Amino acid sequence: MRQLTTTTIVQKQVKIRQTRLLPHSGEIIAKMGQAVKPFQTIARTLLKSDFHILPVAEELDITPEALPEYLQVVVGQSVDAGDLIAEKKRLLGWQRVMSPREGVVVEISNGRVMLQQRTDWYELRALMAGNVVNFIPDQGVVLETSGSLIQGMWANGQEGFGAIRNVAMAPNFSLTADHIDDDDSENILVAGKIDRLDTLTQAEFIGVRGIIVGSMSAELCQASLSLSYPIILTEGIGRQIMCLPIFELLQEMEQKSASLFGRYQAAEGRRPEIVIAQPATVGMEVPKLIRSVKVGQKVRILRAPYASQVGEVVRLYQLAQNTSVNIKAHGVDVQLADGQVIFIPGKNFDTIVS
Amino acid sequence: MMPKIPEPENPDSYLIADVGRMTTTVVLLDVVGTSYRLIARATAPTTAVAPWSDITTGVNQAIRQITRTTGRKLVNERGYLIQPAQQNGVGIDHFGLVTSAGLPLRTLLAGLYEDVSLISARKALGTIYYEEVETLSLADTRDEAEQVTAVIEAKPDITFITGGTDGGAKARLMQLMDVINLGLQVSHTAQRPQIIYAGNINLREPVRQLFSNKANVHVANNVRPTLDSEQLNDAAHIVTGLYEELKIQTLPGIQELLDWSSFPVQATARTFARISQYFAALQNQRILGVDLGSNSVSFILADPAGEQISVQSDLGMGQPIQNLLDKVTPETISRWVPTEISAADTADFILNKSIHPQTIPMTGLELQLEQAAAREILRCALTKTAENWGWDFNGPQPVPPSFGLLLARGSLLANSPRPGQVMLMLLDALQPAGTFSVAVDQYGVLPALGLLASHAPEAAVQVLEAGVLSDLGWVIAPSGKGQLGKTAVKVSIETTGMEGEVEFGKIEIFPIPPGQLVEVTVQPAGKLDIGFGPGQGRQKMKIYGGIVGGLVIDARGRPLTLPSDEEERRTLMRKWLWDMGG
Repeated sequence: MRQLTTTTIVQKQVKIRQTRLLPHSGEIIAKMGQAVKPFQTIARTLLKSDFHILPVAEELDITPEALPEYLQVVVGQSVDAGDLIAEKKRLLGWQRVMSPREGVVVEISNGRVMLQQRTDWYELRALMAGNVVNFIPDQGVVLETSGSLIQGMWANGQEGFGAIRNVAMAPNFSLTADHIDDDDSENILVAGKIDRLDTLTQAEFIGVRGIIVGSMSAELCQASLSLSYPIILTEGIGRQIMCLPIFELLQEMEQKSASLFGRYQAAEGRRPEIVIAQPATVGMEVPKLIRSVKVGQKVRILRAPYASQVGEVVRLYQLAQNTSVNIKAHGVDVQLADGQVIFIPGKNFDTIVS
Repeated sequence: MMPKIPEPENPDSYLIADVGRMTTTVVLLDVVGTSYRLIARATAPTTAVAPWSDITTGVNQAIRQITRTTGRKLVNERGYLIQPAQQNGVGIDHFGLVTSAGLPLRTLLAGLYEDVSLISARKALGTIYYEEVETLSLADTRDEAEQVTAVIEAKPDITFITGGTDGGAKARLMQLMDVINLGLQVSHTAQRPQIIYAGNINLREPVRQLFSNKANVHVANNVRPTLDSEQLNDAAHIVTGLYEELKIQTLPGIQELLDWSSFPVQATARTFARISQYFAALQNQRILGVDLGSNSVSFILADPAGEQISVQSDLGMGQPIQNLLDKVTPETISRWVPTEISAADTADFILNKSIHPQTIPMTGLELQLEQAAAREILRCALTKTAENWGWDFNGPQPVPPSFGLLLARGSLLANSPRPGQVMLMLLDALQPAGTFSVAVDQYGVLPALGLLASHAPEAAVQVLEAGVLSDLGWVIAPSGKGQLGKTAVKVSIETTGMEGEVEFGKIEIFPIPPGQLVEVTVQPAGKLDIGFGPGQGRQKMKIYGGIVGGLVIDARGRPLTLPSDEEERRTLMRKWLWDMGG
């Protein structure tokens, strides 16, 4: 019987597509087919709009229905501070309503005029070298590149681009503040895990471009949400070490430029991703789709006591088995690196796509 | 007394899929002998997101398992369902689909008063999976411009507007709608929500005019036509329709399943409510239904006359489990764990579970932690339900109206290693009082039967009667104050000749073989109440033995109080678990 499996992509040479979206609708700058660089702006939108509502009818002491007769602006018109919005002739002179600030008239309704004040632009960067292969109108673009792709498990919602520096000599190596120095301001640091808050603050102080580790605690995850640089966890929350296939691939990528895509939507199945763009090789394809588990596949275990350990599937079970805590579950036997063979429920591992 | 159901003349067979956020369950129902039975059920991961992004993959996987188990061929070589069933037993007459796989409806809620119209609106919205992303009310201290910004940034799927009794306040409600209108005007066309208006009847036309050309407007009966009355059904019906349109019909791959379906697709919470109400009518008693799902928690209070539904989509044993840390401290969760664990490790566990929502525990400690989290999730969800529905509270603990059957479902409850663990989780979390029985939807069939009940009620009844539920057993839980160590309840089981007393503060099981009917006489001490009035007992009450091994007397008091000393508390947890056979 076929058992469906979740997957984690850890591929060295693969065709990669990234959908780059604005936080809300805006203007697409990149052109279809255009080659873009990581720091190139590909789309932009107003960062945040400030609105100002002018109770014009009330100020002119007229009914809302009568306002059009006195208005001096139309929807879509730009105004500066002090510009005339509406005026009414009085016995002696004029009663006028002036714009208190610059902005655009976006709505006239129920006797009121709403101004939208433009603030800073939010510029969406490509964040990786590649080509624009698709447009999503008003929202963003799809970029395509080639290189290495690693899917993470959690991220702090930030994005970044920098050079990989492997601080860790082993996948269980903890990154500490002492390991981070002034030269790291252009780097993405890679280690097994982080145990202390001062590591995060030191990295912020130095201005690192990002951090990739296997895990860190819930407390540090919470603290990392206010940091300006991206952190991607490859395994999960707690003290899990980085799994070997990811660790080894990152070791191989020392000093290469990497893009960290830490904005993701877990509920929609989108995961944080690490992209290391490299020249295409002959026959390079999109990541393999593995839908079901087979004997011989490499899998990573997701729950204690074997979390982050990688092994090979050696047996598929047709019927549900009893786990060590007496829960009945479908699953497989996995042989770990030390030769130990253990039953792992199908829900508790993902297949490594490498 | 069950009504006599006519035997089917030309019985049809049914294959019903329940596509949850994490797990897809498919059940095959057909006639065996003279009545409908659950022939087979199978589960598979739900495949709505990457790497599959097509829910039919999981449904097909479960169907293939059923074929393997029963030998009954249900799909052809091209993967299409064979319909109708053929003489040789191949295929199926009817396919049905229920689902909770869609994301909750993002909802902007606008109304006048928090404790009047908004609370009624939340009850109507709470009949389906929804998430309140923004609220506008008279209590809002933001200026209009800030409110407009909030409306735009909320990006809701629907805007639910209520307020004003029929013929009552207009001006303030119109001001709120002005803000929403301005927000809509500036929002990108594609991001404009659908609008439900369920407020003052006299504003229906102005509302239609205001929002015409900007959004689809659905007008429902005022959820609060007078200060003292509510009418929720109309609004709830519209909300359900929008959930189906916006969140179910857009699931990847659903079209193929809809093509197979003989019945309109329904949301799981609604079908669970329907079968609970159906069950309540059949048994002529009140039922408290609880569904501890991966992405929601539902409570159903059903009696022969109707049902109340309360769905909470911000809690669950899957990805939303992380929200539990916003509601309670890690220590509040770990107080239910009989093993020493730090607050930091508890928080790590909860967050890790949220990013690996499909996984199951493989160590004793993680099993204890998951069950501890389940207790707190149920308790928080019950508290919210009680607040919305105006139930009583005993200190911090909500007190649901008395009921005769506690009907529980959800993957964690159905797959716990021992029934005693499930019983203890439910008693700890809900702290129900009175005399009632507890059953668990072990096979995950109740939503399917809820769908079936609308179209083939006789089939649903026969499957229910055939015993698809796991009867955990009966519970007598006195409420009221007692003295630790003093007798709380005297029990005498006539059929087995067993007699005994349970001290206040203890939980005990009086052995009765599963399925055996016995007569029990029970007498609470002092003014303790077991559901028949203070100090009132019952003679020769007929009850059945359940799979926990007997009649549970939960004399630990309501609300439960746990020792403040950590070691003492852990010892007590171990003792309760031991006493319940967990």
